[in-house]
Amino acid sequence: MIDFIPLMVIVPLACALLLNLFSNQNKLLKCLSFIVAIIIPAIAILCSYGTHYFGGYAPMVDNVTNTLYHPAITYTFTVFQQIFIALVGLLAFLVVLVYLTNYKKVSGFYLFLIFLGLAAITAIILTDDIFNFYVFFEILVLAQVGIVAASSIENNYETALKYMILGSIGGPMLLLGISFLLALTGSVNISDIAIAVHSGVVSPTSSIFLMACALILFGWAYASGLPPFHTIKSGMYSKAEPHAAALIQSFTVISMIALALIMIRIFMIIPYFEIIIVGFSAIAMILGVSMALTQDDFRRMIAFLAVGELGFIGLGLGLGTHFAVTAGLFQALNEIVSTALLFIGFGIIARTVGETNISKLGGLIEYYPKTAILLLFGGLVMAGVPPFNGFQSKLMLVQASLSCGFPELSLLAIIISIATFLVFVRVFYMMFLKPKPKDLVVPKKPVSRSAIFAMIVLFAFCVVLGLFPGIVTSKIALFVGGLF
Amino acid sequence: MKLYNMIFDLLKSKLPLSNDLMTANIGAELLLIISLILVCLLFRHINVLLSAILIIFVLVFTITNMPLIPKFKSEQDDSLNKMMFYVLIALGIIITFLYWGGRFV
Repeated sequence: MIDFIPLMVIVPLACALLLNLFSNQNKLLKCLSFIVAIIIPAIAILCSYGTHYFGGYAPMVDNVTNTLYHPAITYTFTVFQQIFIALVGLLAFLVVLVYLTNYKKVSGFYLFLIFLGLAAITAIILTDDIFNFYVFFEILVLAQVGIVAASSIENNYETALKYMILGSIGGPMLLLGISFLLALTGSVNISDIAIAVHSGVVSPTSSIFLMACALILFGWAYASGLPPFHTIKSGMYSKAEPHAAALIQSFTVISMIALALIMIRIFMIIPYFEIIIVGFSAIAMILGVSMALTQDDFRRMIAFLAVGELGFIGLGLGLGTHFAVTAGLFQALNEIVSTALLFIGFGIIARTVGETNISKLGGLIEYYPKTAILLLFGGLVMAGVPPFNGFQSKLMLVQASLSCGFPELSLLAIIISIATFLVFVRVFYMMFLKPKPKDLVVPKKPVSRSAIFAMIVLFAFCVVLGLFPGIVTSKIALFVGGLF
Repeated sequence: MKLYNMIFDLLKSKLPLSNDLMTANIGAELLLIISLILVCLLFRHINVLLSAILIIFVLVFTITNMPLIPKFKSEQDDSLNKMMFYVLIALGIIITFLYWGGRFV
């Protein structure tokens, strides 16, 4: 069963290539993508925990220093990887389902990009090799850019191009940081690098090590859409088709936590490293939510909120204690679910009404009551209202920052949550509760049943994880215990 | 009422103004000021005097530059030039803080 590990990358990658190959055969495309979308989360659930060494090169023991070296590209599959791969697989299934049911003729190239992104994000979370991480990260970026460029939203090409241009700064800086680490330690295996750093082979005050940390941190900000990349990241979310935006944000969250965990393992030895992570996260929270408050386009509003929520994850990871990192990872899981719910829900309105400016909308609760109620719940989840999962993870984060001696951060997290709630009150009132403007014509298009189904599934997750957070937090805590 | 009037006049000159937009902008303005002060308070873990100086600086800056949020918003639009500017500034700050900070502090 352990041999299933590479299949989690190979299956979506092979599917992506086949979808591109058979892009003219509509029925085949639909069948293939639907079946593979079911198989991917199933593999993650059924696969046994373990390690896979590509090429069969098993780790070698240095008898002098009694250290283990990893010559092969290593994929590690633990409960942490299982949770996130299964979740993103399920989300991909829902997104593919919404896409297949909304369009009579589907695009093989678009589906190719979705599965390519899925394969890349799975590899990113599985790999213990920092260069392999970088390669799949660049593939992921290309897939995201392609998804945005393939959408039918105004100015999508411009946004995709801007993201590529900014990526031409962020990506190479990340690679330069990785090459500095390779120069220092002679390895690209993350475990080997971490051992070299913590055993004193590499000095934490060496110039090259500090520069590597700075460059990888900058690459992390680019990968995560943290400031100064928050504007372009929110632009990417708002210019993608809403169901695709739900998937793109999950890719961003997972690449953020994957790179953050790598940095924690390698750079935690630098005394003020945690402060920088917390600083970045606090700025992301403030900028994301304050910008969301001032937007008129509901897609951009949710996009900025998604960026702001990333700050909560970074807060947990930056505080660096066992409990705080567990809270941060739990928040990541909750953000993937709640933001996907909101993107899909608002996508229904954008698709059926054809208007995204909230000042031109109103009275939609009469036309879309199910969507409105599910969106309201989604907003409550994101704002951290009990008894949903968002409340549980944010409470854990507040407790973690208090126990670390940072009451200011607890206060900041609470204020940002209140502001998030304010954003939802505004958007919900403007779209659904205020009287319908006279010039607004609501077309009598049926609401996509698959989108409603996807929202119900995601909302069920929010309720279950809110009432029984221990199902996930106990497993994440076990994984985090192995990091320290 | 002065802050309300300042934001009202500024928004009215640029957009068709509505109650919700006014509320959102005032909310964002207050959120920004409070958050900045909280972030400055965090510096007490490094030095209490530094934190006090920063808080005074932020208070003076915010009071003399109110309303902040329209300026803030214009700096974070989709202009590639502005994005590139802030990306390079951030890269410079990170490298300065980590490289020289790590070596000489």
